[in-house]
Amino acid sequence: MGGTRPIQRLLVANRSEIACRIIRTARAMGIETVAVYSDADRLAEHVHLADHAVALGGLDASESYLDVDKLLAAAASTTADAVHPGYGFLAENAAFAKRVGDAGLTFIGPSSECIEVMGDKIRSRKLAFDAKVPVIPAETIDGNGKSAKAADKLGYPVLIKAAAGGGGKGMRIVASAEELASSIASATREAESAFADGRVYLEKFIERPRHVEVQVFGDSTGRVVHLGDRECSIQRRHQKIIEESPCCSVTESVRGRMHEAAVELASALGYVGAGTVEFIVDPEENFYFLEMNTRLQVEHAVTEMVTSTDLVKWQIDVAAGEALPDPLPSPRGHSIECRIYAEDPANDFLPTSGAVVKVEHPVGPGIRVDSALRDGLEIPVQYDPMLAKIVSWGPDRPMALARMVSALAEFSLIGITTNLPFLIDVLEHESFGRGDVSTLTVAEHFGGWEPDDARAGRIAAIAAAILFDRGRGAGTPRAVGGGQTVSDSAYDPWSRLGAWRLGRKDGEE
Amino acid sequence: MTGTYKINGRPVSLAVTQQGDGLVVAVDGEEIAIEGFDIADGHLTFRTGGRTERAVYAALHGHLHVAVGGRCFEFSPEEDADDADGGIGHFSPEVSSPMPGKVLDVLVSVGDTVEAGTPVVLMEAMKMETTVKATADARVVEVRVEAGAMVTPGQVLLVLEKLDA
Repeated sequence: MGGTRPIQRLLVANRSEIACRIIRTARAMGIETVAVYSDADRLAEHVHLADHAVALGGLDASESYLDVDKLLAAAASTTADAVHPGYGFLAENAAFAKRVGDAGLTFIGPSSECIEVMGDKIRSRKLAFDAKVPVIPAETIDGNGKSAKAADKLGYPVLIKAAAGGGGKGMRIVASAEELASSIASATREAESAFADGRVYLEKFIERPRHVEVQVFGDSTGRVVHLGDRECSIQRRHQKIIEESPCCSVTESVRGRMHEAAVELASALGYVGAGTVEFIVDPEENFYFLEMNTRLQVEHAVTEMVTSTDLVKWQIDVAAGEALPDPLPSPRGHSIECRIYAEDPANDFLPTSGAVVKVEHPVGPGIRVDSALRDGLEIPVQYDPMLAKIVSWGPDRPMALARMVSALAEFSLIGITTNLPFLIDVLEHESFGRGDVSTLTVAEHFGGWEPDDARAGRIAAIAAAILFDRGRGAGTPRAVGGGQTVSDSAYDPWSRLGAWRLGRKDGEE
Repeated sequence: MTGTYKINGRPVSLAVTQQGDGLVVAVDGEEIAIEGFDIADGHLTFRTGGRTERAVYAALHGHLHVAVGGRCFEFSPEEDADDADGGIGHFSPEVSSPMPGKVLDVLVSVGDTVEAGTPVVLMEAMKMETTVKATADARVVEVRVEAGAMVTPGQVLLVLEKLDA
């Protein structure tokens, strides 16, 4: 606590779009930035964007972005005075926050005590319970015999969750007793690999749940506020792909009670910094505390759009000892975010790989792009497959939605299979238009999804024919008629051919 | 220009002829009149039926990539096509990796018999676990990876021998 302590040089302990996004805010605040990078990220955008960059070496996260010793050494060698963890990696690692503090640096986030309590799903549930925030019935499990009994008590289907969990890792829905043991084993392995903590527990599975969360913020004067809510129900593999603010699916009275509960919980913790309280909402609009994320969320941008704030700036200000703004900005309009993933939605959303051959980001009124993509960039397989976020704002939900659909259609990303066509189909589905969403929306309406490429494919085929004809394609087609064969050497992507060309003969340039 | 290509692996025949003041493009025999077009900086814009259509393109390794409306299409010369994959209902003896990632565990050994749908390899990519399953009732004749191996998409993990019904 005490007085303010301005930050002068910030090390961003993260990569990809979030590192770029944090660097940009720091720059706008006049703070110098230090990027860190693994061997796989030598050419990554965040490395170019920062004022300084330190190589961590290594490919896997464990030997780079998760290596606390290397990160602290990088901070020391560049005389950084603060560390921003972003999201993922060490963002919710209490030991990291403590070591950053012990090294005399400012950690841009809550205290290690808050991270520790909320990072443990079992302890955080108890805290919520004590703060009179509703929690989902759950059972802890130790041995196999006990887990079968616990699952029977809750009634199938049950949900296995990792005690240290987040992001759907180590989570399994179990429909029957026969699947229980193998699902627990596999969830434990996944949790161990993702969090170095294999503890799992069982929770009652809520049918057709919605996932709604409240953005909270606390400062060192003890004030805790909320910045509205976000609807995050559209998920695949238990991970969000579309989020919006405000949530379109709860009544105003329920919304108000959720905001209050979130602020209450954060206050009970003495929370300082940005946090998110996640709730599960059932079809009768009962809401239950799910978890609190003690960091910036991937989807923080939708809150920024409707409140005209920069939450990273707020984080840095609060960490430097400043008070939150008073009065708070009042929310305006509606915002939607789509996460662009390197994955194949027609193949069980499995990650894809490759290099960006060409990328053109969308632009337009109310469109924000958080991306670290550029031409030639190889997408490393070692890290999360999220490539970019597209965020739209509109005075109301239909306009935010229309702008998003238009933006996604204008997003050209060549070289990597992504979920872009899938996102467009979800946004254009009538249930999404009505705001009728749940965490089962993807399974219910998009099982066995295949891209409907008829119209776009026809346009692409016409385009390809013209390009091959004019020598802009590549490769040598097999000439099957009396036509002209195009050769490789004719390809020249930088040629400009002027305005509409009508009635030109082949070869007449 | 007339040629046969693969569009995302499927054959398509493309032809362009000059007709009067415009071009006529034929896609699998369907003729489309092009009223005008413009190519610049990896962008192609053309007009047909009074509408303007826009595509972004890039050529790489002899393949033409065209992006339209958030979707990507890859055109390759037909002889380039990889026909070894086998179509639906065609048994492929090789079980290959569906994604880039790490092999966590090989669940079968040489000589084991598996049923269609039996998990054979446990994989992880980007911190997500995925089970690779046998595609038919078969016997394992070769195991080409071990736990801990990093694999690329399409890399062969196991070789199976189909059991006769």
